[in-house]
Amino acid sequence: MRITTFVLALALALPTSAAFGQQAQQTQDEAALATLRAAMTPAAYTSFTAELRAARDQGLPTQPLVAKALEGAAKNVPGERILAAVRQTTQELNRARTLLQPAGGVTAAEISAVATAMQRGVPADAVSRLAADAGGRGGVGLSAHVLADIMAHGVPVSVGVEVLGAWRSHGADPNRLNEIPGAVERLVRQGVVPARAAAAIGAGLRAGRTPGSIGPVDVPRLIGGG
Amino acid sequence: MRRPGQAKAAYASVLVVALALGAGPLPAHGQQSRQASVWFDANAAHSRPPAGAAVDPTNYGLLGLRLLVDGGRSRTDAGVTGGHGMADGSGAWLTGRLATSTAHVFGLVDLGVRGEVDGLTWLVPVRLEAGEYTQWTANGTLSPYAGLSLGRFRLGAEGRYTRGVWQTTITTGRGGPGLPGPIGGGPLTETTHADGDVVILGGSVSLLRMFSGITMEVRGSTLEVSNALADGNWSGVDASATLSLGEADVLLGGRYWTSPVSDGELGGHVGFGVPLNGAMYLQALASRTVTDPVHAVPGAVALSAGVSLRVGQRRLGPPPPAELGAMAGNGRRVVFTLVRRDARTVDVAGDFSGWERRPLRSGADGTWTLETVIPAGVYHYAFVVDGEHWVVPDGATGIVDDGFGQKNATLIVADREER
Repeated sequence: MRITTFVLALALALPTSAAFGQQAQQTQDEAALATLRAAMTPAAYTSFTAELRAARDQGLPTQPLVAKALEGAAKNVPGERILAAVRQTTQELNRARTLLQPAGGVTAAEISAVATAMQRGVPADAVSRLAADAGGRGGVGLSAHVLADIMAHGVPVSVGVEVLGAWRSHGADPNRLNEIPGAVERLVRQGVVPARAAAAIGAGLRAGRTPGSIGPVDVPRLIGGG
Repeated sequence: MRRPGQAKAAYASVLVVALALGAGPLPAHGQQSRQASVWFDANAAHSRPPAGAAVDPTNYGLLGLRLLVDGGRSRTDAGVTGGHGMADGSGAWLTGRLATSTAHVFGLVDLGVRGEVDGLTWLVPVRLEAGEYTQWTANGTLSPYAGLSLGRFRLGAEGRYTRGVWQTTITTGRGGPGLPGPIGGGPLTETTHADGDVVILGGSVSLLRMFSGITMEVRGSTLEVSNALADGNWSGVDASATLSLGEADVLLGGRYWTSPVSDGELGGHVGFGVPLNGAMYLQALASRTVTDPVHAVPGAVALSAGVSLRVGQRRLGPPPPAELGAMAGNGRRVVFTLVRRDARTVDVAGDFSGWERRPLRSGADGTWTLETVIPAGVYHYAFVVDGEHWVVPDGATGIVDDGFGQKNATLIVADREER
């Protein structure tokens, strides 16, 4: 009897919790829109809400657009300039979704993460390759940011993509993914050429090593040469 | 009782074991590598002096402290190890080692220099037939190097000055990006020329293959050596393999070596190392070296097993602007830090806060911090100084244009902790 009561209570509570979450999000969105209405001219605000509706109709995530507008308002940027930045963000999200779609598994979070990685200089063909390697299993956004990190250390895009391919094909352990930029940075600071450092990390991943365990002494052994 | 003349070989054995332990595998590093750490080492070792030398095999106990400083483009490793022989008259000693290196990469060119000083002094003399042996020894090595990487190849040159001998080694080898499929091996040529009493000309070819969890290398070497002790041809073949078993490494190797002082010598090594919790490293090593062609020092057998414990660790330099901490609910703890001695107020704002400002607290030396919990995701953020200046420090990760003529940093909150 008690179990029945508990199950009934749970069945009632779950939709209530979900509804509460939606309500909280709605309240948050309304607060954000109120902030933006106060910060923008009526014409700019009207254009902004039209931009939001168009993005929603296209199936794009709208949260990054609201965030970009809030950022502009926080930085006291004029409404027209906010609108231009929001439109730019819409284009970036659209481009990211186009690159992710062929491999499937497209989520709002993935679109947003890939778009921000592309802002950091990750090229479109690299995103396509990362998405194809993922095969719809997710993690494309995070791996694109790891690629951006190691590119910032001087690793060529093609080598970085191969390293992430090695990570993907040998377990795709998120812990190892997070270690890659730090491991590359450490090798580079210790005098290893960035491409060789990344190649050694990739070879180590293929051999079952953790990126953090690969030191300069391993580099010749892992990729040959002096 | 030992005989005179064998003490040098004996202390050479001791030094080899002590230095091998001191320079042993280091624990894995995390992402924050600019740091100093202190390690305590405890090892037991067995040393069997060179074949033909009538010196008793000896067991030793070794205790040491090492300081590792990994900062910027340099790395320093300093340590002191005390050893005590178990056999009567085998003495007790202290070894010290200081090694430092610095390296720079300029596009295709890499330059660096390594320096090392080591020494040994006897605390309790070794008893010999002719009396007590107390001679201390010290040695220094300086090794500048440079390399040029062109596509898949690297041309390298390394100098080495030690014991009054200058040695130059030229290497060429395949060292390019790890492209799909098994990593191919390639030829490695090595030419060494040392001035003075020793001249070595020769080379080696190595073949390296990687399989799942196993790295194998086979190398053939031939060297034409002129030295004061044993001129002639030194050649041999060696093979080594590294097996990765989870976090553990197993090292295996063998070498067959012919030289003017022997028709054939067999050497090799078996090693095992495993890190535990990032603060402990267990290791064991058994090796038999072959006669060294540079100084004609005979080969010896050494066995050792031990543990390294990290007893202290300190970050060097200021903390990063955003540092991830432990998991907390469905997010992670994040500590934001900005060093601004002249600031009256510092806030941080980003996608995670809807760009509402969150104040940082002022601490010592102008360090402002805020610890907060942020759900997993990718965020842009920036600091606000004195309520009006948007600031992104140079050390921040993922600095991008914000679309408004300023900059943002990127914060990636993973939904799992790094090990």
